[in-house]
Amino acid sequence: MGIVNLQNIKKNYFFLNVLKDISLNLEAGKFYGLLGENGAGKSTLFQIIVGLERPTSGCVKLFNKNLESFPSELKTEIGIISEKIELDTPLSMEKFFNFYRKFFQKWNQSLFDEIINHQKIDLSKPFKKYSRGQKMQMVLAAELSKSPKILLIDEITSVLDVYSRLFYLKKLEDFKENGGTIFLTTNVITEVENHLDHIFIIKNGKIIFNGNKDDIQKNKCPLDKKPLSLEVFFSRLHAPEKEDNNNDQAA
Amino acid sequence: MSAIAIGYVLFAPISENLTEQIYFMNWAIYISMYGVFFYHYPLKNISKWSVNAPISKEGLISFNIIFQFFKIFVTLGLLSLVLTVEFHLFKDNFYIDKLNDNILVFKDIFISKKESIIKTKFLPSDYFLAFFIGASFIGAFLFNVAPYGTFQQRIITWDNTKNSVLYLFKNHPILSSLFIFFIFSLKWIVQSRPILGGLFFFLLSLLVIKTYDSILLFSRRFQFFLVSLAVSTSILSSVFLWQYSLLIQKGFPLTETEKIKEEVFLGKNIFEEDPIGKLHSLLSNPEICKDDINSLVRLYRKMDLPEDKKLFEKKDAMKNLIFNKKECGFFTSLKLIPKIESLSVDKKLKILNKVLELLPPGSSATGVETLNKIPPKFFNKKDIGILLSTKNFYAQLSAMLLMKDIPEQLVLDLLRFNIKKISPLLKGRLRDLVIEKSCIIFTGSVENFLEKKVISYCRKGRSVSSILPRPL
Repeated sequence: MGIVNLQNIKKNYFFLNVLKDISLNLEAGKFYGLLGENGAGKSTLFQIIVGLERPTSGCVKLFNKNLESFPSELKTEIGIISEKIELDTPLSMEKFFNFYRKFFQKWNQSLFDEIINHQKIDLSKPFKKYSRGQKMQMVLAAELSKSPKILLIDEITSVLDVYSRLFYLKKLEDFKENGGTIFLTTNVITEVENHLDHIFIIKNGKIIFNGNKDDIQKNKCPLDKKPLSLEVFFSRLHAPEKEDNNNDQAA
Repeated sequence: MSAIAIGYVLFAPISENLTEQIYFMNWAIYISMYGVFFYHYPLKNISKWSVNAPISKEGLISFNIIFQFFKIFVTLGLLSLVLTVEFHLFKDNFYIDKLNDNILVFKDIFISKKESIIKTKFLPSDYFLAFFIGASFIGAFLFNVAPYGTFQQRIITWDNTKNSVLYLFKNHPILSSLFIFFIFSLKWIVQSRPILGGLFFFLLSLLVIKTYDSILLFSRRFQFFLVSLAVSTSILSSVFLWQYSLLIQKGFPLTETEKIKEEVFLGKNIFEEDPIGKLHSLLSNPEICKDDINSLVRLYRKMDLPEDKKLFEKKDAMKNLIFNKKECGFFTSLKLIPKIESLSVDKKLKILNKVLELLPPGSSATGVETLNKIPPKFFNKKDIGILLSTKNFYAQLSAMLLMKDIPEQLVLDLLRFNIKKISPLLKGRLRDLVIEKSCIIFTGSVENFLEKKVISYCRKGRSVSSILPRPL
């Protein structure tokens, strides 16, 4: 069993079925990507994995422990990066991080300083005074510096600028090389494509693709000369339904 | 500190004196404390990052509760400090003196227990329940995620409620049936106040748990633990309220009505079989007084039973409910008589004789006070002649009071006719009445030049006989 294991996860909001029987397994040392259209259920699935949302049924296991009875000490091994994570205190970020780092024995201060200095983030203000991108960067810096075993990241690509995206993707690569696992949900396929080891594509609350880049190539048309890109594959997976929808609308 | 500065410095120019200045400063302090208290609920913000830190959810809840206690102590401490400083600085100020008096009274009642209300009396269960509900509500308010946490977190919204009910009915028919059964059994549950108190406490606890859950997302096991805790504390609350009532019944010398109220508190329907008969027998007690009568009638009226007007359809109702009463219950009982205005004059006279028996007249002024205790509809202008002709002080006084609005000549004729029967205690009032009525006659009938003279006679209060057209 891997680091994260999901079994038959279902999520209903009253009569709306957002996730339909999702099972997946994340192994250590890999970079996973969860792709899907808006409203496909990516964020709900992410929130269920990180424990910000409760599944209607099914079981989530982290480090082979049920999320329901997950010991809080093990949170040092997980880094969650999402816009929902806010370091919202009246303290300046410098003071806050001085307090925050004491929770973590493996805190890598030099990595933290490197990221903060490289990105030229001034830590003298309280969290709410920063822009969305800066907030996300500070959370990223903190969670990377924790030296966790897994990073669970929700939609950073849409918040960060191109330069920062590339910088952090590089940092994530380094993290992976040191044995870390990354689970990333995103809409920006092209930039992350080369970094991903394994891809999940979710559509209407169901995982419709679960495989690596080689598995994508198996779906290539025989007449195609170029290798099938993730973006094209993704759009092919979603195209038929759109046509159907158009036909329905025309009718 | 800024509140003191704002209150003292900023409002100083608009305050006319030191008292006003202290008023302003204290208001600023109260408002700032409200602000400090109700806008510093840190849990919601902590929950936004604590998901990444090794902090247990139980730890966060405990922290929040301890933090609230800390705030209570700090705000109360600051307030006491400010009041103490004010007292020492402005000892002679009227407002401070008054404030200090209030504090001393509070201290005497609740801390030194010098005042009799704590020493000798007990808190009836109904009031205790109100206190319990109020305390639970304030507790839920203070120790929540945010002051209005339940609403801020949108726990109770129309969409949520509608969808929950629809979902419950569609997917859990057994639970829905139980829910319907619960709704219909509420009427029965409400009869027993301890169960009602427990139920209120349970619902409040559920709301608090749900609010905390919306922030911290508890595991199902912890949720189950908290709900079980809420169920058990609610049951314990019910038992506690029940025991409190039993303790009062056993440990204090209660009046009949107090006993009944305690029994009703426990859910006993004392008016079950013959409601009117039971109420009649309870009100027939000669010892029963004002508060007890009012409590009993209020209790009866709350219970959706036959109207209490029917009390007087019973045999000997007037004797049992009115005439056997002592002073403390007599006047309250009069208010129970339906259509008191249409009572026969004989009955009215009997009632006034009872008044005379209970309260022998002292003076005209005390007599008026006594008559004011009788429902105003009791007195009718048609009865003036009969009332005046009796030897009952109160009947005569009531007749004189009614005479104010009737024609002057008729008044004077009635007075002339009954002059010998009128109580000596009423002579002063009689004289005033005659002067008043006579002056009115003269102002309308004499020549203009005489008018002033007659009025001046009235003012001087000349003898009655010299002013009247025909001497009495």
